[in-house]
Amino acid sequence: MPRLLEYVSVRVLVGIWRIRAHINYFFLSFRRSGAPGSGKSTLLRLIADNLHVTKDHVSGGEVSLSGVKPGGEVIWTNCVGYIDQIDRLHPFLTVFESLKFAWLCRSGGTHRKPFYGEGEDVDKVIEKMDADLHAVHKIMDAVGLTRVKDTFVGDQMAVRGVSGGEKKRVTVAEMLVTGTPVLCCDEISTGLDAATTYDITRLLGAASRITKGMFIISLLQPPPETVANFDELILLSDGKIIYSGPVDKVLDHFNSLGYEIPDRVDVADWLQALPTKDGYEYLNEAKDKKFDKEALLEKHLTPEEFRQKFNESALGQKILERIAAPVPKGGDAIKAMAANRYANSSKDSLKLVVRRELLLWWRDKYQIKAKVGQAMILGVVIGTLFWQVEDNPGGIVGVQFQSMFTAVIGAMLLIIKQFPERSIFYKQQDANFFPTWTYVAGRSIATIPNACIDAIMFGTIVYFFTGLAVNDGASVVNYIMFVLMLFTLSLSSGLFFSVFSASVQNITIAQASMAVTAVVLVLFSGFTVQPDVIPV
Amino acid sequence: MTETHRSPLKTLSLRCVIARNEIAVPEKLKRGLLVECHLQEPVHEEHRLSIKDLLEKPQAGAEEDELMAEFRELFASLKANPPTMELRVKDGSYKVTNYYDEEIVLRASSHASEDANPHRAKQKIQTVKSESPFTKLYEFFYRCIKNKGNVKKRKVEKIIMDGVNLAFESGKMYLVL
Repeated sequence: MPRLLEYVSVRVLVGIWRIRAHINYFFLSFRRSGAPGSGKSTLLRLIADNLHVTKDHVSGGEVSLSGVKPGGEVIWTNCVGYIDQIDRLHPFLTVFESLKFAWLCRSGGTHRKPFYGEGEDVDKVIEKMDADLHAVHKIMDAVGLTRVKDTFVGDQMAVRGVSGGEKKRVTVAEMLVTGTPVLCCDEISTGLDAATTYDITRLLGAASRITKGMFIISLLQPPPETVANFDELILLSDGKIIYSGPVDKVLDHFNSLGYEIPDRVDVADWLQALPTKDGYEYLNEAKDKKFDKEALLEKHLTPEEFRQKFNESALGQKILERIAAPVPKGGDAIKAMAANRYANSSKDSLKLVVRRELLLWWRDKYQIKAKVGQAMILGVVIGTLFWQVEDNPGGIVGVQFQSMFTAVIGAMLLIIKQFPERSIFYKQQDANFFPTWTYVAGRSIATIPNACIDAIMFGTIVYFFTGLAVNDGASVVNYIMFVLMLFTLSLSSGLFFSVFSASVQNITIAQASMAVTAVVLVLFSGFTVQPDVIPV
Repeated sequence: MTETHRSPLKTLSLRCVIARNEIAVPEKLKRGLLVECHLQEPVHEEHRLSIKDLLEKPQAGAEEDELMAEFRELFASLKANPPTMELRVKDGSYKVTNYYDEEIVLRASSHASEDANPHRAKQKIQTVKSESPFTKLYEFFYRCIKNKGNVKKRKVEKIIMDGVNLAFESGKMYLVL
């Protein structure tokens, strides 16, 4: 085994005292863990029908849930939920609000499920649960979020919020409230401490037994007590299944292949290291200190050989038999559960999204202050630049042009904010929270307050500074018309530029595209280039 | 022996190092080093819980906490009868095709013996230079001349997942490693 450092002198720092202790020690070079790149995420995405498929990315095989296949008459994403490794949450929503929104979107505001019984007593229980938002509160309790339920989720820039571990719990809880019968969780322990991972997996295990749900969870190097919470274990190496069966049989299986777990080694670490080239060290013969490395490497199984051995084993045969067996009943229940993509009507979805978008706008106080400040400063600058130009027709056109230009610039700045929210939208769209048009409409409606600030604050200052108010025959109607013109301009340019946030790849391209568009607008506005020389 | 048993020898060695280097140590710390106590009773090998024991212990569901008991009770009051389902994956596979420069493919295959997954690590890393239009133009003409007019990149297929057969049952939790 190569050594990284051997017999080195180490300085030990104890508080502020430096002890020059010549401690001789050696460090073994780190061993390669077999986990990354083994195909865990691919497997979960395959099950969730969430794989990136193009002409160069081809998926094969068949996934079915009690005989029901994706792409058929059911909405697969309503049957199989998927939690990925990244936390994508709105920073300005509290933990409770995030979960409540998810629950309202995915349940339609009721706890009723097709498999609940009938009767007055059941109705009463459901009514009470709906009134109490039972699912939201219980899941918050379960994942330990009740303490921070009124804290913003937060992010690194806009607002301080819950910790990284708590954010991960919010991500998990958000998908748990959606209540899909199958839930694929991809490395949900990233950023979580071992105790929380243990607690969450223990609760998920108990919940799966009670609700007859299926939780398929991939974890990186879970401790043995967490592994013991699971019913079954699937071990992948190089995209091949080298074990799938009960957790308590995994050691026996690999023991039968001639491998033995050493003392004081975590079972997950050992399992992940087994199919790597360092796995020869776990062969029974390697216990002998004078082992022949070449001979052991020869004997050590490759991932393909591990797969073959597993397929030949009783557990492997059992799986193949089960797959070949007739489809079990339950398909009709799934079809009933997942026939409709969205739980809410379009109108209710729109209401939910508008309410959330307006709340997000109101919560972003920094953005509101910046908008007010921008409107006032630009109003004063443009107002003084065109101070009392009531007798100069060219000056009035200049005022109108500058007002238009200010509205366009303001709209461009707001688009940048929409980019980080794209990933959240994609996640919620994949989980069938709401129809896309409701999101577009909701976000558009939420831009009205900003357009009002532009129109009223900027417009009022400019209107009175530039002398539009003292023009011959000017009345309050002229003022209202000017403000309305600015409002329309601000709103429409905001909506127009949101096309870029929805369609281009990244913020840099969006900025370049918007700049080009702004130049075109300026050129054809009739101020920089006179209307009579604009080619028609 | 266990690490929780503080060795008097180690404490003594540390005190010697401190004395030799004439380091001032606060009185509180010195007293702590002088007390040779057992932090915890040593656990004998025969009483240590093995990994096998841990995996074979009754599942955590047996000791459900209050929340789960409440959940179970609620399910009973709702007369819930959740459907039993089975999820099957038959011959699941995923294949990705990448296009590399000839040079990179050759470099990757020369490392193949020491790395089981060469294309993953040996992919061309994008840099300011490699991404500049001039470099791309140069590479295009270079490939064109070297390959006698054939400007296509080498196609490399990578199998991410292959021949996956699985069956999942209702009411179970699966760990994927």
